[in-house]
Amino acid sequence: MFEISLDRVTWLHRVPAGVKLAVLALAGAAVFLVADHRVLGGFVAVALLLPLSARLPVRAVARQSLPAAILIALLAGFHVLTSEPDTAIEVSARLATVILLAVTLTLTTRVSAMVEAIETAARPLRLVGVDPAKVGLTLSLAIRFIPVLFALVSEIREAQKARGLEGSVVAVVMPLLVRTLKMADDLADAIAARGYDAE
Amino acid sequence: MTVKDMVYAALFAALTAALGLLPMIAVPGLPVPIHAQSLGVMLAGGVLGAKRGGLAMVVFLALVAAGLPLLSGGRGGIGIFLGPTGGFALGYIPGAFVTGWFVEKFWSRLNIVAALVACVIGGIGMVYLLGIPWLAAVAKISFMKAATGSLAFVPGDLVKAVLASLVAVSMKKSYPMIGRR
Amino acid sequence: MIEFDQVTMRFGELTVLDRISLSIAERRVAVVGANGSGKSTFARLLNGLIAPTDGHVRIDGLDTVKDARAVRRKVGFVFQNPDNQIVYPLVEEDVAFGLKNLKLPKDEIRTRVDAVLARYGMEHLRTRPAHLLSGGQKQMLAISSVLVMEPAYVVFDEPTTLLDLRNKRRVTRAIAEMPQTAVVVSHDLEFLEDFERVLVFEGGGIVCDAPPAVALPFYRDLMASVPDV
Ligand SMILES: Nc1ncnc2c1ncn2[C@@H]1O[C@H](COP(=O)(O)OP(=O)(O)OP(=O)(O)O)[C@@H](O)[C@H]1O
Ligand SMILES: [Mg+2]
Repeated sequence: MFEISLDRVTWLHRVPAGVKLAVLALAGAAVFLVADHRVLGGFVAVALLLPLSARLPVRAVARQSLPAAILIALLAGFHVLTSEPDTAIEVSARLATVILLAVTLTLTTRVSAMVEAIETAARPLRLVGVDPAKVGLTLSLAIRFIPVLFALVSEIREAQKARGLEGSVVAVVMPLLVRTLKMADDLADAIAARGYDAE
Repeated sequence: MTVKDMVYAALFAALTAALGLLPMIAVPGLPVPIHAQSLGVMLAGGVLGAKRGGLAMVVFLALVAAGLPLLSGGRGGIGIFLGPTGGFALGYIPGAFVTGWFVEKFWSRLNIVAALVACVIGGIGMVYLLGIPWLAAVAKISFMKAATGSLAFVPGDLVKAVLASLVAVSMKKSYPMIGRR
Repeated sequence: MIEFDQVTMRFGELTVLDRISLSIAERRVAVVGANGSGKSTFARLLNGLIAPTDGHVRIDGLDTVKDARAVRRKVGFVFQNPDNQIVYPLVEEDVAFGLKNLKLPKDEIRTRVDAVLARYGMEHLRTRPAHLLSGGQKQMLAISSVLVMEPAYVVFDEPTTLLDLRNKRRVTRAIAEMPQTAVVVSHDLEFLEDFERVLVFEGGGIVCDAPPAVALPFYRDLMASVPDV
């Protein structure tokens, strides 16, 4: 399966996904509670040092953080222009910390490990009637559907191009839906036929 | 949750991912190019209904959070939800749910106008309802500033609402999903 | 033993099967018939994927509706399109899926998955994403995922229709060699020549129920005699 995480082993790869998620959640909350510029600077420094310590390629980190970086720059510029440089520093430091930590987590955690962590995190939802095993199965089904749909989209676009319908979203979506809904119905049967009990 | 709920939700999550593959459409007169991905929100609600549509978006966002590069331009990861635009992403869930809720309400007499109302309230209204205050809070700007900044995307979203309504109405005729077990 | 007792299947106004009664004790049974003649409906009745409108279907005495869970365990089902029956993204996960549903211990799941992958020469594909397999490999995966559950009966609904000639041979050989009872819906008449019994479906009923030497020529004549509409 294609994914963002880097196919190598760094010390950050070895940290369990759940631990990384917990650190991200704590840091994300903490950074919004402080306003002292020195402390915020410390957060940014740590967030920058983490990917460096694991020697993650700068390009990969930059690629995933770029859209957020542009937005942060725009916001900082806005606050400077409205003569609130303090706010500019606060906002950009907080967002930069959170985004960098999140990108680091994403680059060093395999999707399968994250899906497991999500399944574990979904356990308390049992109390409100959500079965964590079903959460896992549904996520797996979606992962399984994605390459099939990607291939179908390309195929249907080719066919529509041949008929001169390129650029029409509806001309791609309608056949895509009809074909894949049939597939979904079949798959539901196949799941039942292999002894899966929804109850 | 039945097997059908799971399979359809997974399918529309994957569909939303696949829509991210379609090229951006630059519409003359619109300030920003339209991207097909958020069409998935209105399609999920408009075709599947409230519960399954909302679930589809939960699944889609969970996969993005898990680190699949499913957002347009190959982006993904949990950072998407923590940045200034995280509210718009989370808004996909109530967006699809509310679209679906209205489509179910209008089901017996669903036409293009009714479907459009559903898509605009759910797929646009709910998404902005979460997105704008989130942007304002995280970026420390005023609500009005956040709202006007988001305005550039409304025309494109309206075009998508029309497309989604067309699909929802023809799907009702050819492959009705609502009320199906 | 498979038993159909006065089974009628209707979809709305349309009667697809009309009061079918038969019992099957043979190990290789084929089902043939024109498109829309009710073959898939018949097949789906066998493991309770659908319930008859009237009458009963029993597998070793178990009712497919009342004892649905036990019947699912006994009767495996392989569909036409492998893409529509592979549940998990990775080969080994997909093979293990049915075993997890049987709530088997982890060790046993592992042993059984190993055994079935080895049996069909797919060990090297173990951690491969299923969507990267060839059509024939996918169908072999689908078959392995069913056989790993060790059902006593396996129903195949046109398992080779989408395959090229080489993969068709691979799949038909796998079916021919398996120890279980197989009920196979197929348009590949050559493959059915070694079967013990052939059921010909037409007009809501079974119009011929005989060994292939009799039933296949009957079916060929029937198809030749019906004018195109
Ligand atoms: N769930 C359903 N709802 C309504 N009609 C159905 C359903 N399933 C099957 N039918 C109808 O029942 C008839 C028999 O279908 P069936 O799939 O059993 O045929 P078949 O012999 O398998 O055909 P083919 O060779 O095309 O696979 C068809 O007319 C079909 O449209
Ligand atoms: Mg059939």
